Parts: sequence; C-alpha cells; structure tokens
Amino acid sequence: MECAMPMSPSRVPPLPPQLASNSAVPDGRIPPATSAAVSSRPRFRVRTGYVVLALVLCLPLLCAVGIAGYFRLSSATEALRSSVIESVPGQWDKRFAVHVGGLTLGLVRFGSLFFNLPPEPKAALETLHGAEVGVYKLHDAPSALDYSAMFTAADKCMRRRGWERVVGVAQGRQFVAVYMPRNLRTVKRMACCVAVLNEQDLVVASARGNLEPLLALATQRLQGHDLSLGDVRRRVPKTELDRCQ
Amino acid sequence: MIGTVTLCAAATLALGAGETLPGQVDFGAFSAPKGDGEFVEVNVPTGLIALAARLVEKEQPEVAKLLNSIKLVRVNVIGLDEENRAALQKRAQKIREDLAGKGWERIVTAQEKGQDVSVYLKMADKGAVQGLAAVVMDGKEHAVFANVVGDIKPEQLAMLGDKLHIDPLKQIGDTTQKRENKPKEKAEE
Repeated sequence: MECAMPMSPSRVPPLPPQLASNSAVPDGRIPPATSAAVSSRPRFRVRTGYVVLALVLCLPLLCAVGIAGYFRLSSATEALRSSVIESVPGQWDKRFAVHVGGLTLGLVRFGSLFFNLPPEPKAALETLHGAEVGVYKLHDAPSALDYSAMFTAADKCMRRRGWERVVGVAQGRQFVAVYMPRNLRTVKRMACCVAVLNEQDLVVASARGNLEPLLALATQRLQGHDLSLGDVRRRVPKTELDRCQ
Repeated sequence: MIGTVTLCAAATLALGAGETLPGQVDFGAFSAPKGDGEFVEVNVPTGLIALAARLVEKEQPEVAKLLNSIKLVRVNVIGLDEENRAALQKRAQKIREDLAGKGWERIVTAQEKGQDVSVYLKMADKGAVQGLAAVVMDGKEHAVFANVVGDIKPEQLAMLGDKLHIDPLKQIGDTTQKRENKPKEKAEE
C-alpha cells in the first residue's frame, strides 16, 4: 500500500544509502512500517543482548554474594561481636557464622504451605523472619575480665545503631547482654540481639520476626490453664521478705 | 527478699525513655564487680510489657490493665565484695535520703540479720502511684535497686499482690488504699 499523502521532494528526509539504492521504493515515498523496522530493530537487538550478557555475567556474582551472605553477620550483630572481642584480650578464632535472611525464610514458609505441619513449627516459621548466629573461641582463658568495660563498649556501639540493652548479666566467667531496638512499638516487628560469653566461648545471635502467630498460639494454649501463680507460689519457699515481716 | 523484689519487678517490667518521669529514680550507673561477683541489670521495653499484657488479658484483664499502666522498670542486682561494699552502702544511703527529701513515702522498712530493706512510694495528687522504689542491702551478698514507674492505682497493686500471692505487694496496696481513703472519710464527717 502506498502513502496517500503527497510529499514535496524538498521535505523528504534523506534516505540511507542502502534504501536509496533500493529500486522497489519509489522516490519520495517511504513506507512508515519499513522505516521504523529498519531504524529500531538493530538497536533493540543490541540492548537485549547487553542485558542478557550483563545477567549472565552478574548471575554468578549475585549468587556468590547471596551465598556469602549466609556466612556473614548483619551490621548490628557484627558490631556487638566486635565490641565484646575487643574488650577481651586474646586471640579469637571464628568457629562459624550463619545468617538466614528474610528471603530464605520466606521461601521456607512458602514451601511449608505444601506440607501439613503441626501448629508449633508452623507458628515458629511464621514468626521468624531472620536469624543469625556466630560462634567464636578464645585461644587462652583471660586472667581477668572487666565486665563494666564490656558492657560500656557494647552499649555504646549498639546505642549508635538504635539498640538498647534490656538485660545484662555478669557472674564468674559468664557474661550475657541482650539488646532490643529502642523504638520497639509492636510485636509484629520484634528484634533481639544477644551476646553470651561463657569461659572462652562467645556466641552472638540475633533474630527478628513477627511474634503475632506465636503469641496467638500461646494464648490459645494458655486459655485452658490457670494463669495464676498461686500453684507456683505455693511450691516456692517463703522469701526473705516474708520472713522479715 | 531478692526473689520477691525480682518477682514483683518481673511482673511489671517496662523500659523508660530518655526523659525523667515523675516516679523515676536515677540510681546512676552501676559497675560490675571485678571478681566473680554477681551483676544483673534488667530494663524491659514497654513493647514486651504490652506483649505480656496481651498474653493475660483474656484470663486476667485486671492484671493486663495493670501491666499496661506500667511505663518503666529498672532492676539492678550487684554482688557485694570488699571493693564495692562500702561504696554501694553509701550510695544506698544517699538514695534513701534523696527519696525522703523528694517526698517519697517509706512504706516498708525491714532490718534483720544484716538485711536492710526499704520500699518507697511516690503518690500523685489523685491518689495513683507514680513510682515504686526499693533499695535492699542483702547482708554481705547483694545490693538491689528497683524502680517501677507508671500510673498505678493502689487497688491494682493490692489486686496484683492478691492474684500473684505476693503478700508484701498486697499489703503495700492495702496501706496505700487506706491512706487514700482517709481524707475522703474526714471530708464526709
């Protein structure tokens, strides 16, 4: 089909040499479809090629980063680990560090839909959105530990990241510090970071998730039980204050 | 005594924010003992209290209501040794003096076999308990400093003591409630 609109020869754009030499195309009349195909097709092919090439090149890199991520702790956990290790003199060896992120756990959750799991593991899977743990060992037992300095250093680096210590315990050769985000508002986005030093072994761990499913299960289970501490209290011997009074 | 204080605190734990609340006591920072001495510090955020409240709200709505009224709790247990004993006794004495000077009511005093227990209450004008502070020197073993901040009604304290079978807490609640009722009775007369 020919273009019905008459065009003056002066307004016609110059043709590429290969088209200009084509005898099938009359002078001054260019079929629009042919022109678009000629001008865009090679460019599109080049772009697709580049994208495919980039993907092929990046895929191993992305896989490597993803796999390496399983063995790298998050910044907060890493900071807690560093602060404790720096406060305890000696040479530390890394035993292992594992980090399971939201994507992996999401896939596990999705996979669990196809299985008929009991409510407890199901609630646990729904609760956990990320978890990591690192285990380190000190070569030689330290002569003395300054727990105050350890708490101060850990508090300082964690506070900078928006974490607040909720529990701190130090006794003998044991040290425990538990941190939670300062702006904790809802059980749907809970997070916790823990450091435990026992003799020469240090364990740092962190977990984040939504406690709603676990809470719902716990509430359901507790409904049939008496929550009063009366029974517990009766088993516990009289406290010192009771005796005082 | 430590068990009781810890139990009371554990039932009503919460974390304070940066600003000082009316019933908040600044115990200052504590250092862990150098040797094998015990050191425990607990600050539980409000979020966890809300969680605990949700856990019991169906079975015990009054306890859930009380938990929701708690704003802050801090508990420190420090093991005493030769190095820190004198300093901690001095600090405990200073805290007691400060509390007395700031209008806190000393409602429990127990001194027996080296134990020195003091429990203070800070009351609001409308009769609610704004803060509860406990300073305990447990012989030669521990020093305990606890502070509960909130907007707690005296009957809630008594109820909690009753539900959890913690007689001292029940007594505190009853005493506070009686004190609150006295002016009303006088006004009626």
